[in-house]
Amino acid sequence: MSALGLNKHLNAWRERARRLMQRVPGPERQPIVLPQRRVYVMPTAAGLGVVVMLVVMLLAAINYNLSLGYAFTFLIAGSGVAHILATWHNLVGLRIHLKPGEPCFAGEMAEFRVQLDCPREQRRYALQIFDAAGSERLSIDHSGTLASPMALPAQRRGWLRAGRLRIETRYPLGWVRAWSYIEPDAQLLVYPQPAGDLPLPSGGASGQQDARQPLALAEEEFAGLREHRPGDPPGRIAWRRTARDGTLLVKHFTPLDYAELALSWQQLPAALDVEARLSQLCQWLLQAQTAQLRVSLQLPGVQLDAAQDASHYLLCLQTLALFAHAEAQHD
Amino acid sequence: MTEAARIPRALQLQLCALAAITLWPYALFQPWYLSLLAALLIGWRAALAWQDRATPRRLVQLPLALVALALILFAYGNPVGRLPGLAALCQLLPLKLLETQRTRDIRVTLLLAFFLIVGMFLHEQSAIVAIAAGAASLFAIACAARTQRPALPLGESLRLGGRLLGLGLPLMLLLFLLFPRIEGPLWGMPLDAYTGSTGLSDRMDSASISKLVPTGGIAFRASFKGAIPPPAERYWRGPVLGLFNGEEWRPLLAPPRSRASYEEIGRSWDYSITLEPNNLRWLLSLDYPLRSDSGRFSYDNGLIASAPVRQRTRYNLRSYPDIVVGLNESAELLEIMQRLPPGFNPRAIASGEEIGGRWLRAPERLRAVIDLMRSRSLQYTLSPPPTGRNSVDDFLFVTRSGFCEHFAAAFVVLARAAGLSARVVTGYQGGEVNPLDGTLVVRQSDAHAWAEVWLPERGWLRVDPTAESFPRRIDERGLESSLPPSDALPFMVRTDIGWLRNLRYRWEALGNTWNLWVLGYNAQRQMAMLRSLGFADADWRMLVSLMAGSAGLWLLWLIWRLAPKYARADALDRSWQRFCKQMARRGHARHSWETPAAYAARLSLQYPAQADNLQGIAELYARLRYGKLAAHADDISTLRARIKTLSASLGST
Repeated sequence: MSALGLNKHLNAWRERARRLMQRVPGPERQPIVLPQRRVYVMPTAAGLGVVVMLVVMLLAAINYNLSLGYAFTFLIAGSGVAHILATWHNLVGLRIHLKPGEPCFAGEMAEFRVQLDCPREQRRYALQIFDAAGSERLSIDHSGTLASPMALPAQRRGWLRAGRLRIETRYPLGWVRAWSYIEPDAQLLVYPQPAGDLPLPSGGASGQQDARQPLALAEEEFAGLREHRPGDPPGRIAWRRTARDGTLLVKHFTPLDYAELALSWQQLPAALDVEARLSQLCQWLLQAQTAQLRVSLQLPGVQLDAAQDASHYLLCLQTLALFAHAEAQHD
Repeated sequence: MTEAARIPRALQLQLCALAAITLWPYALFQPWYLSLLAALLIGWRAALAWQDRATPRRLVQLPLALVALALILFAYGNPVGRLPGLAALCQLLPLKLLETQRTRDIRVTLLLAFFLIVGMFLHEQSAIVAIAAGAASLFAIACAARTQRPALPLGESLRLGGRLLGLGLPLMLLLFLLFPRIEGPLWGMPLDAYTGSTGLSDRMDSASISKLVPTGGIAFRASFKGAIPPPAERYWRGPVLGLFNGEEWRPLLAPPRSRASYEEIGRSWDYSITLEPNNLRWLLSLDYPLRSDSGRFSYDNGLIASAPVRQRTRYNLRSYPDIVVGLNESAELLEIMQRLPPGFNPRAIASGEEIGGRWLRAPERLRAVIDLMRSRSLQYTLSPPPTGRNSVDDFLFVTRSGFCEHFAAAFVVLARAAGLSARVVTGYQGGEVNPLDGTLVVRQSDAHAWAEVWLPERGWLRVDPTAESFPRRIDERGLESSLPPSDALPFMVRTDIGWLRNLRYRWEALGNTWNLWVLGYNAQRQMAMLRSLGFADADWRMLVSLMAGSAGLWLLWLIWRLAPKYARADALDRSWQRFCKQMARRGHARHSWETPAAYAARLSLQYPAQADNLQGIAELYARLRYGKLAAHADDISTLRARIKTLSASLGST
């Protein structure tokens, strides 16, 4: 067995041991209700400080024979134990529902929506969610009905899972922290990062033209001004007229060339690797969408015929996102 | 809330309030300038928080800390010890507060506050201080909760703190009663550990008694089983001073360890004394104690503890006021009791020797000495003019005014010069009966010094030179009436304000109970409590197992109290779930999307005979669960009954 193979096995075992330890069976069906056995409690640095303080107080009470010193030490100790249970109960039984937000592009932050609630109106307070890397992603004052947005970095295209999250609380006193690991089955589609500075290929249906030859954006003819609609590209706002008239006006163009834009894998220089090609295609696709061009997409093994509507652009983006994606899952 | 986050303004102000609440009791005990400095620092911090401004740089705190240290050195003279240490902590809290800007700084601030709450008990352990400590810890816990959840309103954080303290309270009571109490210190105490205790000393100079009077604190309490002795017999015996070096009176350096023997005759007083710590070995007692459950009897008819009294001590006694003591006193001891230092008080000694030359019999000499003192028309005052090297001469012949220590010292010097064996006895005279609980309260202002003279055939005879000159000192009216009005007495000792006196009685009765049950709870009381619970041969192992057992019970109670309510479905849901379960057993489980009505409709198809009943149950449940009116217990029992009849009829079909 090669060193690499051994390493792979080791990692697999480590992962299995981790899942066993953290009692997370893998991506879990939602909503996740935290059972008692999955909530752990450990003292924090502040809690250890309190323990040391209590020991010192008890010694002082014994040494100086302070009856009230005994009483006070025991009172704080009792409240501390009660607070450990309270912290634990702040997490046990919590119902977590993680919902994916809108798809995003790689390199952006993917937004999930977290809904935390509890049966029987029992509110939970001061909850925090950390991602697998250990950085805090969400801090919620109290559980309730409103879903809170939680942004996770989308590094690669494809399906983004929220991954193993740690949900934690130190409420009420911060002397202990209770936490649990969850792995919700929520996933969100990440499109390739739009990148690449190659110009748009020419609008020829053949797609055989030399890609290196710069082609202007499909030429358009100025067709007049119209009122701004949501979604109009800001570059087309007629600022001068807008400033004069007070209503937001955009320049309206009629594409001269209705010929479709063929985006093809083969057009791209052979030096580019797969991800760079996909990034470039995505860049072009977005430019085409801005210009409202008819686009066809051709990838190895995939052929999408030309169309211009929004659902077609979405389909193209999804195709790019999931092209040759190992973990493509639809559920 | 992350550790590095800035503290919200409301919480900053709350922390300032916590510091103020924690530190105010210290203002009663430490020099005013230390309290002022702490108050200024807290005020500064609060002003910064109020204006939402950043805390000063660390560079500012260093000189402030140096100023605080200098003030502590000025106040206590040395930086090591219990009181300077506490004072330093008191300054550290506001200084720490001044740099508290991030959430992680709060941790140290809270620990300091908790330490200071306990530190206060080194100064005082009264019920008031206990209440203040409770309030401060409630506030500290509220601060901790708001650190975790800044959106928490102040009132709710206090309620939360109260709830947590309430949950801890049973454990506190259990452990307070059952935690094995260890007698004595674990390690060497700092030298200043007991300077706080005031009271009699085992030395007497020309000011040692009178300086006690203004303190006004309680020296001890006595509770009598039967009658309380009349004021004239309330002589509480303390240190007996037989040596005089010209300046001060001291006890014998090597006293005989044997106890004088005498018979139990005459009247007797049965009583117990709760003695405040005085760091001395003398256990105060009425003349003359014969039976006691602690201490040993000394050669001079007093009672001596095995170690200095450093905590509140309670002991039971029986005294016989009428017995004769010292009939067979050794000649050696009697000779020591006639010694006078040469070169001091020549005029007094000359007067005494003159009496000794004129009268031969001891009772006559005694009579003559008393007459001599009466003839000097001495004045009784709390603030006597200073006397010089020959203090007795100055008192008798120059200033002619003094307090009881002057009277006692002058009498003994005269008696010894006249050839009598005499000694000074210090202790307390008098005491006041608290009408509420019947205890006799004796204060430091009752401190007194008198004398004892040895007469053949009569033994030691108590002579109170102060009373011989001023009889009112020892009758019911006490010290106040025998002093000229210009002499200030502590406010609480003055008896002319009726309501104040009544208030004081109440307060001290409460204090006595508190002392007995809270502060005086020690290893002996612990064992006595166990015995009264039926554990005859209790030892520490028994205590530990009782403690562990009851702590376990408390933990179970805690788990039960804190168990989330969602685990317990209410009675209505339980009934409905029972119904669904029964139907599921018959093969008709309810689908999760089915409403009660839809479920009943489906079941009715299976059991047409019970259709009415089924739909009735579903309708009742739906109305109780989702209807406008809350389900009443009667409605739920109706539902339960209908489900029961249904299952009975289904079972029969």
